[in-house]
Amino acid sequence: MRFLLVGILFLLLSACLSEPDCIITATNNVKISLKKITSDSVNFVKFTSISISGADSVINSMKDSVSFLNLPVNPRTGETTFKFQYKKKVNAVNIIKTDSVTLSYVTQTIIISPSCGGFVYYTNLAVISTSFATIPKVKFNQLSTSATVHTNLEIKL
Amino acid sequence: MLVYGAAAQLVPPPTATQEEQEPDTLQEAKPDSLRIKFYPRSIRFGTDLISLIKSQTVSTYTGWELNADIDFGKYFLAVDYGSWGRTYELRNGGDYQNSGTYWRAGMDANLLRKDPDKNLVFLGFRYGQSSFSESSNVLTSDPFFGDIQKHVSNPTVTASWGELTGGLRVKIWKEFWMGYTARMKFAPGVKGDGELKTYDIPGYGRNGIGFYWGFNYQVFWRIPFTKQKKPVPAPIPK
Repeated sequence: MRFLLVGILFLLLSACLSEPDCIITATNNVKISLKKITSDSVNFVKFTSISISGADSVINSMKDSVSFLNLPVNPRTGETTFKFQYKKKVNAVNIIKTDSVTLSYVTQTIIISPSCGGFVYYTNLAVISTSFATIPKVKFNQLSTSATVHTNLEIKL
Repeated sequence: MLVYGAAAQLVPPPTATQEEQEPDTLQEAKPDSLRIKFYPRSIRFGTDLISLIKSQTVSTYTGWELNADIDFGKYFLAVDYGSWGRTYELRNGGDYQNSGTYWRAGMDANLLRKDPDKNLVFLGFRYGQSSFSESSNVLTSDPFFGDIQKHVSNPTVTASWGELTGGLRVKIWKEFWMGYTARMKFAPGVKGDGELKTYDIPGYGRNGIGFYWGFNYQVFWRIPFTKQKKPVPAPIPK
């Protein structure tokens, strides 16, 4: 009988937690980390342009070399192609290379609560095609703003 | 209880010898309802007043619920059927709506054994199932892709869950009964949701929460299958 009373009390208190927290981790940005082909070390790359399929604007001549990119996928479709133009040293000569990667993903709309809102979550991230010498690796297939998700995609170039 | 009293008053104060000869006179006069035989005695039809009132007063809800239970003595077979629709405006723009029907079936056990009116204080369980459709419009904004309104829908969704129930039923007048049922709903399972994760399950409530509570305040009309036997007064000794 005592166990029953404790159980009922627990269930009653659990009802207090029925209102969900308004924590939104939804994003359409892919976190891309850049690595060297020869090793697993970080690669700093100077991009001259990055174009995103479905988007009107192009990211032009980034000031600095970067080892990390945060690029949006197209919310209207289930696939997005990123086209990268970047500087690469080949045989001690700087050349401009162009490579692309096409990603697929699934969207799911989740209503957290009327007072918090509804948001589109992107899952099942996968590489469909690429021109990179090494196929980019999906490290985490759900797009998220959470700090625990460091990288969605790893590109060796 | 009153019947016992009346039966007892009809019997003149027993003498010592009568007590010895008829020690169980009052026990024999117990009504049939106190016996715990498993056979259908009556059916009760009712409705949930809270659903009806909420439909008129809460702008986000429309619904009704019909209830029935069959008296098998100590146990009651209970069945519910209802309709449920929700419409929400979302804070970040857009909306959500669902509409569908649901049913529940299960048993209640009466914890009151010696009540001649068969008032109930009960504990029980239910299995619930609902089929419904839902849709949502969600607004998003992106610096590269602009403002996007996304319409998503699940045209045919089914869901099931379990419930532990408790409550009471009280005879008010003749065959008119009132009572309430508190429900602890658990283990919702949803099939058929895709682009839109089911937010609200008709008959259950919010999806994705371990436990969900429900409460019904009900009115019933009882239809007995057989005429209830009146307690037999003890024979008056000559």
